[in-house]
Amino acid sequence: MALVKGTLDVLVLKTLSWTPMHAFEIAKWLEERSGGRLSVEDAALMQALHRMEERHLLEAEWGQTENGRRARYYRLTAAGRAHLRAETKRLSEYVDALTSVLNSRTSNA
Amino acid sequence: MADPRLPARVRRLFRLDAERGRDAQADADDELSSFLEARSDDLVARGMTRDDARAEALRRLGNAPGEVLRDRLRRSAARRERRLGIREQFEAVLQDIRIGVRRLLREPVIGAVAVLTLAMGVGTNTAIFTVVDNVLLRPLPVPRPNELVAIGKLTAVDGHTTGGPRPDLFSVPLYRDVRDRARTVSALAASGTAGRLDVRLTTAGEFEHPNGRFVSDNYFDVLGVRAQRGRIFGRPEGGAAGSSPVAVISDAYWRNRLNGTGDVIGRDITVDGVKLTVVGVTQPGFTGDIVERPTDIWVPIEMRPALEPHAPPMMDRGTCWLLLVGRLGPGATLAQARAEFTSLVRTALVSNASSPDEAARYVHAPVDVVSGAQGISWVRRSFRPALMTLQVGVGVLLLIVCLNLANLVLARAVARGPEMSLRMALGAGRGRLVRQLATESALVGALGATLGLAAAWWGSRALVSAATADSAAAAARISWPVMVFTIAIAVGATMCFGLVPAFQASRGDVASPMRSLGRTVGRSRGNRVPIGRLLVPLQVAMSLVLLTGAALLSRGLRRVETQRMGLDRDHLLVADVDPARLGITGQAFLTLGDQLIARIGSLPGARSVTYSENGLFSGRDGDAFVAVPGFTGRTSADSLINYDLVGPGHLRRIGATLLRGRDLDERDGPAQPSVIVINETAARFYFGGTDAVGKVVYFDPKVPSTVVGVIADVRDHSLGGPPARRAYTPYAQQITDAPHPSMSLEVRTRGDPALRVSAVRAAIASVDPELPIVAVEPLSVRVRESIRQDRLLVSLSFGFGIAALLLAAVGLYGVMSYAVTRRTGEIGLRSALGASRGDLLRLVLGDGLRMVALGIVVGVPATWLAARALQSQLHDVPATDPVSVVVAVGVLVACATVAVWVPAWRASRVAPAVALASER
Repeated sequence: MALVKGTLDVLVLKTLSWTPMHAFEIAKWLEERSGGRLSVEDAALMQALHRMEERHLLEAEWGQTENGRRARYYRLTAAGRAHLRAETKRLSEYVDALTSVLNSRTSNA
Repeated sequence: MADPRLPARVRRLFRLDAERGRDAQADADDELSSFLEARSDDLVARGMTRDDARAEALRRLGNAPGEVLRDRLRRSAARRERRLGIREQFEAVLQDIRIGVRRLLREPVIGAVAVLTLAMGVGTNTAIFTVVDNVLLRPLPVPRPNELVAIGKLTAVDGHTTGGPRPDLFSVPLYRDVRDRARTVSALAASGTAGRLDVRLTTAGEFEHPNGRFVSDNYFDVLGVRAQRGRIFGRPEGGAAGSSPVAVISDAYWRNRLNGTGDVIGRDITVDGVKLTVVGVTQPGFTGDIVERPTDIWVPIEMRPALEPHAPPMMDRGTCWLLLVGRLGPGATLAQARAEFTSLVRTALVSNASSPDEAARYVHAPVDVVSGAQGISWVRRSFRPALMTLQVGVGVLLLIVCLNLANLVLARAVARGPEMSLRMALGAGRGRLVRQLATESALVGALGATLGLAAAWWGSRALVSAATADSAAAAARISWPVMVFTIAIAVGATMCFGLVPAFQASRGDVASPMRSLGRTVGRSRGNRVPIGRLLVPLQVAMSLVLLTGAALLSRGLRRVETQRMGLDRDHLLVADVDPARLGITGQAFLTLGDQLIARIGSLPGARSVTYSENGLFSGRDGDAFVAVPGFTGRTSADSLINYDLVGPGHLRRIGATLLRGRDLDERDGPAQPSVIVINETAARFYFGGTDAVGKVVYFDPKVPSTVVGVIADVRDHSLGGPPARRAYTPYAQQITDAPHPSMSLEVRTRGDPALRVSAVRAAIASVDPELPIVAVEPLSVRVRESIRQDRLLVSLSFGFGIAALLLAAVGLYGVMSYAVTRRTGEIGLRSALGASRGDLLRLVLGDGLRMVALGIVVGVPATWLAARALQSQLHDVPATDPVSVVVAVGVLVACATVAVWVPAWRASRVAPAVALASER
């Protein structure tokens, strides 16, 4: 399932709200969490990360992975956390609205 | 270099260098390749071959080998880096300021002292230099001021004499003679006093009294001043007397009194009852050639007979009232002009002399010719030594300020060594530390400079108005170069010394200052704060110089104030009236005098009343040449004697002491033989040891005047300087039908003369309600006013002295507190080994007072040098006056002892356990 446009950012933020991760970890985590149903484009993910870093929603630092590789770890900033809250609220309302509209349509048919 | 392993939070906590300088684009590349590897590993783990896995990983990153993505990421990274850099720098500065403010608040005393020290230095320095600049240095706002020459006695801008031709104040005919013959100047202008002008701006308006000046028609041309509206005077003004009812007004007068309206040209104003047409407004900034008193209105000399109908005839060679200003012609020098004018003036005087005797006096008469570049100023001359003194004082104070800042900052700096070392150890760059410290110093500097600016602004106005007429103060401009210079020096000193800890910490061995946190046993003096220990004695010495100066000056002032004046200073009321305005002369003048004496004398509280021409401390004085048989002067000046015309019983009634002979009285009427009374100084000068009473002198070669009395010297016009030779002649024998410019009444009262002012005014008005009353005030007020400059100088020098004292005390306190803190361990150890509190007190006190003693040893000879420069201001107090030096040293030592005692007392309270604990 391809991602609905505009949801990648909030998914990434949500992912990072647990713990700092590097890019591949994020991709992996999203795939696993969605049970493989969400397919995140690696290129899109990288761009999203950099975009959000530029907007100070994330900050990054080099660190070591479990198997001893160097990787860039991303972490939420305070602004990122606020952004996540706001976006989550907006998206759930949107989904609620969408669901109710879609449901009513089904019952009318 | 910063350790990359430190987490950002730790970095921030310790304000270490942010991660910077790393190539952001390389970062982006690294990240991409690390992602590729991780993805391929993952795919391999799921069973792909390595090659396939790599291809797949690349595909997922955007098919092409990541070029597009890589470019994007790189650009984004570069952008981010740039923005972050700016933001971070800005934040770092803010943070530095925040830290600086916090630190200042945490040590409010040291911060406040530093700020006040700076403010004091900047403020006083700028204020004083502003005065010097305004009064001494600023050239007239005219083109090529250096070409101007001023001729005549510049202190006599209000001078007006009728005694005969003079070489230092010119009559209209003499001016014209000189003007027509002078070759070194391209043009020569004249200006003279206009006395008090009664001006009405509208027909029914209130009278006001602007400063006016009669000037020759070429006055503005010579100065090079143009009109911003209308015109300046031109050649037609030189017509027949009274033919040019015109006036030019200053820009300031136009703006302040006529609201700067455009229709001012052609407007009629009434001046002394005569309608004058305003023909021009001068260019802004020009207020005439008299520095202390800005001129509001200029009127052509030819108008004087119309404005002042009772004034002595203007075309008389004996009516002297003009000063001359010329502009040097091409190639001419001031020296040439001096030679030419001296010869022209002498020739003119000699050729018009009425007798060979008179001519002989003019042959070698001195003629004053000086540069007119800075205009005419009487303050400049009388105030120059005082201003120079103040400048020296300011310089010394500035030095003390710098020393003090250095001390304060150094003491703090060294105490911060460990903190700096800690930061270095955690990886802070030297640049970062320097920036932090510089910010703190700059903060102190900015606060101090701001306060100093305010102080200077206020102070310079106060000073200029104290030194000159009030209206000049408004025009006083702050001397910006001096202010910038002072701020630069003081703030520069603060910053330089403020940076010391950063360099100390970065001297390579990061550990040693940290170690020294605790290890202080043994005398760590000498190599640790050598500068501070040298600065304190220096500061003490400088303070001693200023204190001694203040003591000397105030002793001089006291001597002047309390000297015998030879009259009843505390019970005299002086009242100036202006009968000339009403045209009262001759016998009518004497009758008026008698009436006033009778009416005022009948007031309760009036003991006696008399009058004289020039009065007491009025600023007016007369002098005349006197021929004394048997006396030959070395120069013509030896034949000059100050004289005053006096009413009957004058000398006795002002409280003078008659030494020999008798006072002038009612017997000495117009028809009686001419008589005079002379003072002690004149008697000694002209008659040596012999009795002066009965001797004959000649003011007029045909009229012998007999000396009938000798009085003790009276301080009647100034407190300073040696008493002048002085003669007193009866008004009744000298009065002519030419109007006398003034009459000054002296009322001797019972009790405080200030209480009789309104009664005396009323009494004068009851004799003649039309008689203009110029002023009524107690003599003591005038006397105080006459030494205003001395008093100003003394209070300023006291200000300097106290400032210096406080600064020295603060400096000492700072250094000693610091030393005690450093030696806590040693003190504790001594205490543990059995030293008593007294021992410890003595130890620290002795240490501090040794520095004070050193300062005094250096300072006392310095005070002698400084006092020699002050000599002219000291009124015969010797420069080595032991009392002043002892008082200054005493005050300084007392103050220093307190400053040292506080830290010493604290040291004696150090508990051994605490001290030893600080060793850990």
